[in-house]
Amino acid sequence: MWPELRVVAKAANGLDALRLIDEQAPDVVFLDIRMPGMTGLDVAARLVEGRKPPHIVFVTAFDQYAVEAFEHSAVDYLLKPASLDRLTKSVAKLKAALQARREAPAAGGATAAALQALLAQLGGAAQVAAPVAAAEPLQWIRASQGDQTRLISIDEVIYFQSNDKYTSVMLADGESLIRTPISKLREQLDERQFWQIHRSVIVAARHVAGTRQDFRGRLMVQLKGRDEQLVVSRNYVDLFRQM
Amino acid sequence: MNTPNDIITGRRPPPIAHPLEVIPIFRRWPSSVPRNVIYTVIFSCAVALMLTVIDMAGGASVQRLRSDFPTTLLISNVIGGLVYGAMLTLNRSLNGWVARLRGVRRLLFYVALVSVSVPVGIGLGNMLMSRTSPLLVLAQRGVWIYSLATAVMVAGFMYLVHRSGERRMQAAMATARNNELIASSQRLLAEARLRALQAQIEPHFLYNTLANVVGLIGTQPARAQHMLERFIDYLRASLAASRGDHATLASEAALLAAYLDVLAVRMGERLRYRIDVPDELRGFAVAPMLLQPVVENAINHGLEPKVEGGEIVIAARVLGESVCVEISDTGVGLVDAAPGSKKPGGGVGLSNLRERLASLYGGAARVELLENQPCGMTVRLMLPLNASPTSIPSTP
Repeated sequence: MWPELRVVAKAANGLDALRLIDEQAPDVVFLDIRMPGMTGLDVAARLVEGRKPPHIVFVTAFDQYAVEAFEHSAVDYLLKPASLDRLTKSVAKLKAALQARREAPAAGGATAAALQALLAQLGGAAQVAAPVAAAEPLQWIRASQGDQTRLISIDEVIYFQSNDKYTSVMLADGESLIRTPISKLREQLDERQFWQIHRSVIVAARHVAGTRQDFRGRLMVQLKGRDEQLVVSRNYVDLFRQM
Repeated sequence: MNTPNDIITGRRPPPIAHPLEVIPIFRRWPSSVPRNVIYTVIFSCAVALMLTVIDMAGGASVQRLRSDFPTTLLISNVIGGLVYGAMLTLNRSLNGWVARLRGVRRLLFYVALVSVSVPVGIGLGNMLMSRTSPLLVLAQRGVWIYSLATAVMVAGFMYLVHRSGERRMQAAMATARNNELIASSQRLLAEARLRALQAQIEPHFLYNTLANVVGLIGTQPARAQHMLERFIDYLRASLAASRGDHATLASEAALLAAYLDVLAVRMGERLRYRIDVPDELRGFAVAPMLLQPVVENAINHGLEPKVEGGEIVIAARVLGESVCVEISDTGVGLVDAAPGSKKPGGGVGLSNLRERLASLYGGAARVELLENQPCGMTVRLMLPLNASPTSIPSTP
């Protein structure tokens, strides 16, 4: 199909690819998108910044979103596995592009622009989210268990209770101790999902079944599926009523 | 959430059960003040009748009984009204404290209540009936002895009725909970079956596998053939798993081995694995397709993102009263989620597994997620050794 084509290098991951492209300065690069370490899009983004970026043909497994982006782009792509037919078309396009570049070296800017546009669109999800990412609320808690570290998802936690120098983390199947004090936890937890009802207790909203007043007039929180009830201290009662 | 506001502004306290509810027919109508008043009248008349019968058995003349009966009836109803009225007002003013009394305290409460109501009732009744001063009546010692005896009897009776009512409620709740467990098990099994079916035709796995085979067929036909063969083994195993309700550790291990072999052709050196199920645990019953999603997760979120890949070890052993199954990887472990992504820590989704275990074993099984040194994670399942997963009738 293309006898003049010489394969100069193969890379198994993004970092190796960048290094080899730097060393060998190929004219054409076939880039897989899903790779460990750096994705094909990350590699392409780096290449575009270079002086004379090679022509890039993305090779991708079927992904509705990506394919749509490619359809509207001047940058070429191939679906894995590639049919002979489709490959022939790609080769034809590449030959034409390389020819054009030889005749007008400055025109390389157009491809670079197309590539940038494509990357912006595909990488769009990650970029749009960046400004939102201020401080993500706590998702995982590390608790030591013997000589191992147990990971507790924040969804599992029923309530936190401070316990001397430690904080007790109450779960459905037991209890774990962590070093983080309640005050620090409060800053890291999502307030909508975790309510502080007492100086030493923070309860997960999703596990609250309801509240009642005991005969002394104290407000008590009832938990789903558990017997114990948590006292709401006077200082926090007002906060609670607003919910 | 609506409940806190209800409680804070004072919602109605829990209703009191009536002693008559011990007879099933009286349970037909829900508890309410009018109903309970009617029941109290019925109950009081019944007590009056019973006392008259006792008197008759004690040898009193029919004539005397006839003349005494209206008084007895009136007094009984007055007492009944006093008892019920007192319970109702106390319950309302003390915010449901009466309805929540248990055990000895409840018995003592009844005794106290009835002991006060009987003399007061007798006094009032006599005053209404024959205009005798209540103080005169109450001065007779006989009245007090009679009152106390009746009080203890009636209180005892009310207490026993209350206890049997409680037991009935507990039995009903236990049945309801049981039914719910069975229903949710069935639902989760249906979901797991659906997942297994989807996994068989799960697009990315199927697509990637076949694409790989196509890629290898020309240049490395032996590897391509091996991949197809192992893929067929996996499909067969997951079909069997999705149809049956029980699998064993041996069958699960075989399924996982086929799955990992298929992936190993694609990932090459980046995937190494080891499955370690001792002989005595090979026949241990587990729910079908329990471990496969965990392994899939470990590879997708643990090994795939790592350039050099890593190793997965699936091991089972007996630990006290449980069988401990651990799936460990040397992958990237917990990474901070990419900004904006919804999955915490790369989507290590154990919640489905936890739900499934809860409905299969109740609280007897547990799942823990542990961090490995120097890298990677371990999912540790503790399954009860002597209980097999609840057998669920196959869906029609």
